[in-house]
Parts: sequence; C-alpha cells; structure tokens
Amino acid sequence: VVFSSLIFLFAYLPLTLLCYYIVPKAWKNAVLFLFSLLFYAWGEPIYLFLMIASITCAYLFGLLIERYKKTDRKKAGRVMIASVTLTLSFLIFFKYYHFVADNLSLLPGIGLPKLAWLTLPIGISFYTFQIISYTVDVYRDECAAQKNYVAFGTYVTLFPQLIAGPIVRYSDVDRDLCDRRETVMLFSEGAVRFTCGLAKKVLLGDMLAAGYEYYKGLSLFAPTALGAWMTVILFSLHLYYDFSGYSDMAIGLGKMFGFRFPENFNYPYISRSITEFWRRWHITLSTWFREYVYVPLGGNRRGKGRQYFNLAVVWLLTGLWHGASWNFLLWGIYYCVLLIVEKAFLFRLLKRMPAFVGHFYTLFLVVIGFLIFSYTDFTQGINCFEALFGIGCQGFSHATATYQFLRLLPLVCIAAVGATPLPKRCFARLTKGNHGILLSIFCGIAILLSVAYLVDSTYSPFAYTQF
Amino acid sequence: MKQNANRFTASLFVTLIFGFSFLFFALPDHSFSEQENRSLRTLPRFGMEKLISGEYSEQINDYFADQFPARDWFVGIKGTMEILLGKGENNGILLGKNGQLAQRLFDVRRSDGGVITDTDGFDREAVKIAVEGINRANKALDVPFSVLLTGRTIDVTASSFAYPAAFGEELRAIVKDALNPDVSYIDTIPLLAKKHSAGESVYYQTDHHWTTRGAYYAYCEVMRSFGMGDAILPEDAFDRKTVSQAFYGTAWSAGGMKFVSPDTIEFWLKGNEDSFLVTADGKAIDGFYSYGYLDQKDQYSAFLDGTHDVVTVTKADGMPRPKLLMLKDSFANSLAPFLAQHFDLVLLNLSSVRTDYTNVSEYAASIQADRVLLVYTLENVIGATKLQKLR
Repeated sequence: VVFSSLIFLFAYLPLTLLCYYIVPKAWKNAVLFLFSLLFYAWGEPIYLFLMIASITCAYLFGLLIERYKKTDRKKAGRVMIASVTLTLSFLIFFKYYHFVADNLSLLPGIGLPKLAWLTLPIGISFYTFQIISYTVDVYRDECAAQKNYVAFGTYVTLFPQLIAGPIVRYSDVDRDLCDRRETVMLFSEGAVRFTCGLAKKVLLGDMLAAGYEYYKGLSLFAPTALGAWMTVILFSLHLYYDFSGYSDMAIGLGKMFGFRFPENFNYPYISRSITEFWRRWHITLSTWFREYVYVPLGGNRRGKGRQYFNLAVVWLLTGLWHGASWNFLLWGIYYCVLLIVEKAFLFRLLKRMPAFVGHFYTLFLVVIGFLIFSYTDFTQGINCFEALFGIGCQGFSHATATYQFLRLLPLVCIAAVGATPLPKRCFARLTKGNHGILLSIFCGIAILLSVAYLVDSTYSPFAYTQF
Repeated sequence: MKQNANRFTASLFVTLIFGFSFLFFALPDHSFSEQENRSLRTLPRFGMEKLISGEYSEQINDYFADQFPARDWFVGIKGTMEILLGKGENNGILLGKNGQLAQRLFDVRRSDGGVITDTDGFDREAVKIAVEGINRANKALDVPFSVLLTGRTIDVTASSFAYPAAFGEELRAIVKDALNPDVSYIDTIPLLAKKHSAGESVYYQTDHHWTTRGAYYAYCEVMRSFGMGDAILPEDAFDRKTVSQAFYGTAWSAGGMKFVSPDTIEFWLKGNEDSFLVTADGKAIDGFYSYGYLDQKDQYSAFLDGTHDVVTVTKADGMPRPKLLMLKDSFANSLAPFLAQHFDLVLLNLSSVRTDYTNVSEYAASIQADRVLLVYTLENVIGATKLQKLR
C-alpha cells in the first residue's frame, strides 16, 4: 500500500483511525502494531515474516544488552555487535545478493546461484536502520531497552514511516511510544501536513514524473540539449516532490496518532553549497550515518586524513544504500569528492561569494548528481550527460521538444517556486497568522483534487520505495 | 479561536475521509463503464495464493479506483484542471480548434524489441523493419498488392493544433523511402489533411477513426490506384444518412475533457445493401451496418459489426465478382462497404490476437484472390509487431 492510493485513503486510514481512537489507551500500540503488519502484508505478504524475525531478534538482543551493560560492558558490546551484524546480514543478503552474484559471474570460474525468487523486501533499508539505531542507543545508554514487545514492534513497523522513512531514531520516540497524548491540535496539524504531502506527491510529483518519462523516452529517438536539461531538471523536481511529499504524509500521519517524527526535508534546493544541501535533503538519513558510522569512526577528531577517510566510508555506504547498482556507488563517490573539496577550501570560498554563485553552483551539481542517480544504464546516462552540452544530439532543440517544454513550463515554474519557503511565507503574511478556516478549505480542495488525479491515474507507485 | 479552527480542520478531514469511505461501500458496484467503454473491476475473489503473489492487492486497488463514487465526475475534474493549467492536453490527448481531439502519445516498439510507452517519437530502424515486411509480402504475392497506411488523427488534423507536425512528416517520409518502388502505395494523408483544413469532416473529432466521408475519399483513391477510376461511384449515388448525433469516441474517453461535444455518424447507403451477404467469423451478420451499436458507447463498431478475425462480403445471389483480399485494422470497416460495390471481399484482421495472418501470400493463393490491399494505421506501423512478419 502507498499513502497516495484510494484504498489507503478511504479504507485503510479510516478503519485504522476508528479502531485506534475507540480502544482504551493500553491497547493503542497493539492496534497500531497490528494495522502496521497488515499494511506491510498488503504489498509484501511473504517478507512479513522476515521483518517479524528481525524485530524479534533485535528485541531479545536489546534485553540482553540491557542485562549485561551494567555488569560487563565488554560482553554487552559483543552482543550489540552480534545483533547489528545479524540485522545487517538480512539487508545485505536481500538487497545486494543479485548485484554481487551478477558482477562475480563476470569473473571466470566464479558462479553463484541465480536465486530468481529473491526480490527486495519493501522498506528493508529503512526498518533495518531503525533497528540498528535502537540496538546501538540501548548499548550507548541513550535509552533503556524496551521491555514491551508490542511497543518495540510498533516502533519498527509504525506504518507511516515503515516503507520510506523518515528514519526515526529510537531515542527520538522512546517517550512517545509508551506515553503520548493525542490532541485535537496535533490531529489537525497532522491532517494539514498529510494533505500537503498528498498534494505534493499527486498533483506535482506524479505530473513531473510523467514529464520526465516523456523526455527520457524522447531522448532515445531524438536527443536534444533542451531535452536532456528537461530530463534531469524534471527528475530532480520529481524526486523532491515525491519523497518530501511522502515524508510530509508520514509526519502528518504520525501526528494524527500522537507521534512527533523528525523532519526529513528543509527546502534543499535553496542551498548555497553541497554541504548545506545534505543538511536539508533526507535529513534523517544523513543524521543516521553521522551518528552510527561517521562519529563512531572518529569523525573529525583524529586529523584531516582520517576525517576524509571517514567521509569516504560514509558516502560509499550512502551511495550503496540507495540501491544495488554501480551508478548509486558512483553517485556516493561523486558527493564524497564534492564534500571533501568543500571541506578543504571551497565552502569558505563560497561563503564570501555573492549568494547567486552558491545557488547556481549547488543546483548545477545536484542536478548532475541526480543524472547519475537516475540512469542505471551507463550508456544512456553518458549520452544524456553529453547531450546537456550539445554533444551527440540533434542540436539545441527541435519543434517537438520545444512544444513539450512550453507546455510543461507552468508546471516547472510552480514546482520550482514551491520548493522554496516563499509560498508558506506569502500565505502567512496574507492571512496574518489567522489562517485556520482558510487553511482548512484549501486542504479540502487539495484532497478533492488529489482524489480526482488518483481516480484518473488509477494507481501510481512511489519512486522511493525501491531503495 | 485557534482551538475552534483546529476542530474545524480535524472534522473536515475526518468527514471527507469517512464520507467517501461510506459512499464507496454503500453505493452499488457497476460492472461496465459506458464512458470508458470497458469492463470495470468488480470485487475480486479472495484466494490465499493470490494474496501471496500480490495479485489480490493489485486487484483490490483497481477495484477501488474503478468503483470510486462519482468516478466519471472526478475524471472530468482532472481533465478540466489540466486544460486550465495551460497544458492543452490531458492523458496524451490534445485539445485543438473546434473541439478536435487527437492522440499524440503512443506506445512505440524499438528495434531491439523494447517498448517505449507514451511517446511521440518513433524508432527509425523499427519502422524500416516493419516496412521491409511489406516489401517481402509484395515479392511473395503473384497478384497486385496495394498498401494504404491510414493516418493517425494527429497526421490528418494537424492544422487544428499548435502541436508540431515534424515527427509525423518524418515518419511518413521514412515509410515512403523504405517501400520498394514497385509497391503500389496509396497515400491518403495529404488529400484528407487538405479536406480537413477546408472544414470537411473527414476524421471524427472525438475518435481515432476516419468518418464515412473520409472513408469515401479513401475509396476514391483506392479505386484510382487500381486503375478503376471510371467505376468510382459519385457522392450523390449515396443517400447520406445521419444515424447518430451522440458519438463519444476513444479520444473523448481517454482525454476526460467533458466539455467537448460529440460526433455524428453517417451511413452512406447505396440502396442495394440487402443484396450482399456478410459473414463474420463464419456466421452471417446484419449486413454492413449493425444498428444495435448506435445505442451504445462504442458506436464505430456499427461498421461491419466491430472486431472479427475474418469478414467476407459476397453477392447474396452468388454471382461471382473479382475477389479482393483486405489485410486490415478497424479503419477498413467503414471503407469496405464502398469497395464491396465492386469486389467480393475477404477481410482479415491483421491485429488479431487469436490468429496470425502474416503469411499473406499463402492465404491469398488459397482463396484465389485477384488483388490484395493492406489497410493499416501508422500507429500500428510504429507500435505493433505484425508488419515485420509479413511474407
């Protein structure tokens, strides 16, 4: 199930809300746990058991760590490492088996079995990271082990963030899990946030995706420079609206059930450097890597050389986390190099430049990054890259590419302005803070329009759940 | 004040979510959508295997979208929104002057076997391979072979749109170039495009087919290329009868632009329609026109009873005439009644999914055809896989 499907909006969600709000407090986690399992089983019935196995292992290991950490820190450490290794091994096997097997088979004499039945379990990249954060947080004494299996299960499977984040660290929701208060204010904030996300995904994200697919297809027959630019720009905007829309929906849903999830996006496309971009894009992922990889490796406290090495590790892993394919690895290396260059001197230099230089520099590099990200086929990716600069294509544009460009221009402009804080500021100034009723009406219209687009498209899956 | 606003927001959200949910379950299901001309998904049967394979959840998703309350209204809202956004089209259907609709995005086959969906480009190599099939059939046949590649609406009605015609022109040039010079190629597109610009209705505004008038002009071109120009029946030999004023075609369904008005359908009656015997897949049918379809959404099917694998036309009194084998798609259905005035016809549905008719030379020999005519849409030249197999 994805949030932007009619069955989620008008069957699953009302049923879950109803059950959640009629049962007594003590049962609320159980309701969420059960419905989250149902949510997962809907799309991935077989791998439900894999997820439950992961949860159960982590739960038991958590209790063990808790028991040992007061008496024998070393032993607790070993248990922690065992738990993390086990959880990670599920992820590595299910996500990277095909990649490793396919590439090893290129070497003579090495052949791993094909395992055609093996598909990537939805959300495994996200819930694995959540489980690891729990295990490590317990070991580091940042929180106590969760003794209640249902509460722990709820944390891992909580359906708003289960399949595409935000990646919630255990210590962030520890208190909410067992003692939270649902209020009308929180619910209405959640409803507004959810509606915003829905509209971002359905009204903009999907439309941008259609434009992107169009130009990507066209470039196979009649590549142009304009077409190549439109391909990468539309993809970049699409990914932002798709993914941040999903995060908005997740955060909104969380609020409806009394949870406060961390923010995942903060207008990434207004950044003035790549360093800043990664503080604004997929924040919970960057935070996770910082807390559980970069800092444990020593971060920046052991000299420049070690810091660059640590950055390299983090970014290779970040690249691979996004998918088992060479282009994602390359994408990770790309950002690793950029960030090291910024750390070395460029960041300070950019700060002294006029703002527009930083904006231009960042957007250009981010868009090129998403070009690497979007083409799993290297030849096509290189063709697109060359076409950006007019190499190997039919000139700057042709009639059809121009026609489509003019047609999509209003959408791209709306999307570009929408990716800045401007609309929110304007709305706040227009209504001078007294915006309750107007906001509600906007939300109602947004829901109806989203439904119209959903009914028309029948069904549109999320782009980010494959990772 | 703030608290009241929150209450209002929360209750509006809950009302919408629960309201539609209630309506969905309370309203009865429909099994067919007139507007979209297709069966709607009804409640799928539950099965453990289907659940595990994920098929069940997919079917439930479709069921929800298909049976959603006020589905047609929502589809119309989306279509209108897209036009208001200045896109000039919806779901790949362009909106042109005077409510002319035309599909512009097609599924295109690539020479490496892949398919690109929703594109207005085409693969030059794949087109050449398809045309090579026509050349092959031409060589294999020992009777005259003529080829009529019908234009897509966008090719013929290009003057009604701001949409650039460059790709369509390039496609037609490549086809012409790749055809062997000894293939008799009947190009109706320039003539029909001229008639369209002059205000004549030669293609439907809401459907992808040509009108009866368009088919008549094509008939004249075909006769001329057969060297039978003298035998062409003039327009006024027919009683041009309007049989429907409410034809909403395929482009209308896909485009979701509810404000576009419907087409009319004409039958051109010579008066001798009763003297023909028409069979479809071995059974006699009502003649050239099946009036029953005119009460339904899919009214173009009134011509030769819609889609069949094999249709034959002979004189009812058994008097034999020259035999014309037509290898065709649905455009031929409204053309055939004109040609039936001169020939006994055998129409084979080249796009059939049940039977493969690509071995045209063998088939022509077995029925002792005197001529063979291919009537196939450019859309099928770039998308379908049949032409390349002709022999």
